[in-house]
Amino acid sequence: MTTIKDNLIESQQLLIKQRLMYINIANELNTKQKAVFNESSDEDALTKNVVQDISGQLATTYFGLSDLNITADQLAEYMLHFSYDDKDDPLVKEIARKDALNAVANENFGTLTNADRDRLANDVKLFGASSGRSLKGQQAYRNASGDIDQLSGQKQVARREADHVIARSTWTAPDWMSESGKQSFKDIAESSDNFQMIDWKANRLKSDNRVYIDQNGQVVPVTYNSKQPEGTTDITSVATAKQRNEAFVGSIEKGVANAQKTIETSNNAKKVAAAKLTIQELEKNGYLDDDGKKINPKVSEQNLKNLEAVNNQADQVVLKDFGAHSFSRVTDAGKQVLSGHNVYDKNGQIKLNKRGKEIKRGGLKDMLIGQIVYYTIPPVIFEVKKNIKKGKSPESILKRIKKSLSKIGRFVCHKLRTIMANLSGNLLRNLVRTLLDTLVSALKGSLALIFKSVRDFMMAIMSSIKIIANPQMSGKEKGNAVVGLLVTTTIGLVINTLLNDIKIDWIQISLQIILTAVLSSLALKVLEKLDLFNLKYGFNVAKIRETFQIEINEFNQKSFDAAAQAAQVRKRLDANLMQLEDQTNTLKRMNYYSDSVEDTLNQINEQFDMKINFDLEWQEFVGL
Amino acid sequence: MSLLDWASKKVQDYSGETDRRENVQKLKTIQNEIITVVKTTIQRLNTIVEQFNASVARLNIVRKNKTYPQIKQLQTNLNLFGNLKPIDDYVDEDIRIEDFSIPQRKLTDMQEYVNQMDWDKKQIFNESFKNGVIGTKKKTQHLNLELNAQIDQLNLYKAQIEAEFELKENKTKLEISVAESYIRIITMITNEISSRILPELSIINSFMIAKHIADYSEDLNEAAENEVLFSAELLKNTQYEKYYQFIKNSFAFYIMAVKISTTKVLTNLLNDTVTENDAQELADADVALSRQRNILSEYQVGVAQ
Repeated sequence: MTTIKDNLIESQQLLIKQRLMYINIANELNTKQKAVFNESSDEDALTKNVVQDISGQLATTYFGLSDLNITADQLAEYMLHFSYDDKDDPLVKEIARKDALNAVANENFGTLTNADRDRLANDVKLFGASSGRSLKGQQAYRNASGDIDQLSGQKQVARREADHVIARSTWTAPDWMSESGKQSFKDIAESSDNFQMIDWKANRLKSDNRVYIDQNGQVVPVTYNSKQPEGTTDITSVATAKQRNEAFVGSIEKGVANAQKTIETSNNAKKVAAAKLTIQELEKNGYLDDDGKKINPKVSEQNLKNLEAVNNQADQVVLKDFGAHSFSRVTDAGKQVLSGHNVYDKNGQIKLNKRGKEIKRGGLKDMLIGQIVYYTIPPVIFEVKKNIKKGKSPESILKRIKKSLSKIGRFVCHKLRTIMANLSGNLLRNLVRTLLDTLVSALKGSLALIFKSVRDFMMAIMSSIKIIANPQMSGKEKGNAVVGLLVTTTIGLVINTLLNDIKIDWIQISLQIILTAVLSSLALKVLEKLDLFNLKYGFNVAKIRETFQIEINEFNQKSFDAAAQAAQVRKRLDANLMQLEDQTNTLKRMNYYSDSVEDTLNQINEQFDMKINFDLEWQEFVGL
Repeated sequence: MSLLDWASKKVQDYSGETDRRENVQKLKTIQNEIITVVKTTIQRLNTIVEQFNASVARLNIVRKNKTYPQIKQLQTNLNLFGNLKPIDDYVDEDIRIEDFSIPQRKLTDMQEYVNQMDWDKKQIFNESFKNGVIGTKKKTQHLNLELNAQIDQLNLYKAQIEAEFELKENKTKLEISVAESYIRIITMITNEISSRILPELSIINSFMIAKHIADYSEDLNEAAENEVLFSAELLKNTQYEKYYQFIKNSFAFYIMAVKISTTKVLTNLLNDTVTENDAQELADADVALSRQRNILSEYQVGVAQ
């Protein structure tokens, strides 16, 4: 049981605690207010706000936060503290962690991608039978090329042939490709880029360089005129340059081995002679290494280079063709080309089928937009910020961004390649290049339009102030509302006009987001400098309000707790006093000749802290 | 509204002057609120303190007029059975000297601050002329931020005054309860002493003197010459044991009565609730706060100029 004194002390402590609590909170309020005064000189304050909101929208709209476990703040951090050599990329980290999301079947795993299968199933052959074809290109090339073997580099090679780098008979186009696209393919097939002068024996062994893979995805070499080996798949029309070259090397080496075998075992003199000639020719023209069994690495490298050049040209045609065509067809085509893999959710369920058909949010299209935006905004904002720091005008900032374009492009490509491993490198590069080119011209146009329609733009900003000043909204809501307003305005004003010509919706959406982000931060930056409409002031006032609200809430809560505790103390003390009085009252019923009063009196002594020692007093009294 | 008025309002809106006026008005309002709260609070606290003092006055009457006189009577009767120590004189319990006063300095500072912010029309004109519209705007905006911060601080201060008052009122009411309870307990003890201890004790005393005389029955003069002195302890285990218990009880009452009359029991109890640590902590925190305030106000002055 507590004493009177305990309760009085507790009551006093409550007073002291309340005072200390007030002092602490007043202190904290001071400090935070000071921070707001200081922050009014923080150049990046507004950019921060904008980025935070954009990342919030991006994250919720395009990434499916629940799948990726990336927070909007993480994205904002990434945008704010961006650098080109940046290692801390939350998206890549998450994807590495959740590999299932990006279960990519690529050549490393040796299986075909679904896009590849799709393409193979829907191939259109470009050239008919060899007879009757025009040999003009081939002849012209032969005449122009001198007597060098273009793979081995050997000079004065007597018998060479003009070889199609990618065999004519294996040129196919995807089914959705336009006639003009198909014509471009044909033109490339018969252009000088697709020819190389090579040893005639090598040309025989290479044949039309079909690429077969076994169940493990390994290329199975075949020689001249042999049929497709059992259990293999013909992937020639989707084969990479590397795979084609592997098949080429395999054909030569297998041919040499076969010839060797014929020489050693055959009784047919004619065949032996032919075999000898094959080996002799290949050795003489520098196709074989010192042992005469393997191919000269130089030949293989050169062949790969030539293949890549042609492959890249073909990819560009594909890109151009799908970019130039009407929406529905292009979406299918784009998905077919770009998807390249099934996309799985975290439970391992397929979210996207092989043709990329996906209606739900977070589908391939959204992911593509999200990733392009995710990787493009940070460097663009970084460049804008860098140039604003140098005090440049919006126009010269644009010029500079244009200059930084290749840097940004390289960065974006590099990043996207990690994520979309199946997209051919060149295709991706061109994709990003197209995107950035469009971005810059759109930016330029939008700025011009904005300055023309300053009035409308300012109206939007004016409305933002009303939002900012609204005490009913939280900071986050305000940010979203302001950005939302700017987004609608900029899109309404600018983007629809400018981007009308771009029919591909995912490019359009990506561009809209990037443009909005950049324009908003640029426009806000300019306005911040002038603070024409008290935007900064409004933010600061709002922040001071918010700071106070937080502190006063804490203060009220603690004061309430203290008052509740005081009521408890009051209750305990009252019980204390009542009990003591009741006990004192028992004196009346005591027999002083037989009962001792000391216990009762001692209670009073202790409760009132009288400091009496009854025993000691008695002993002194009686003289013991 | 004339066109000129309309135009000047627009300029004022733009420069933040409208905001500033509103803020100054808010500042004045909160200042008046604080003054009102402080005044009513102090009034109410003083009323409660008066109640406390009234209790102490009644307590002192009981102690001085009833308890203290009993000491002499008890001494006379207990003297026979042991050695009584000399006792101190009677002292009054302390009444509460008024310790709640208006924080005059704070209110004066507040008033000065408002005056400094409350420009008249001429000042506004001078400012605008001197700094131009944009300059005035910047300056006014800084002032507005500062005013906002100041208003918040005052609001917090007001909330603290109210909360602290609640606790102080509560505490003083506790003290009154303790004082009242103390009065009732003392009254009970005093009643016991006067109604049951003193009458019996004087009988026992007379009996013991009679017994003493009886012991010296052969020579009354010898009896008179020898002091009547019984250690109460000697009565133990005799036929007079019941007297022993009664004397011991009486002595306990006596000690209690002495304590009540000659010591400021209540005053000590109520004063002894602040530890040194508490006081030090409070002082430290106050210093920290005023240091912080100085830093802030220096900064604010810098902004305002």
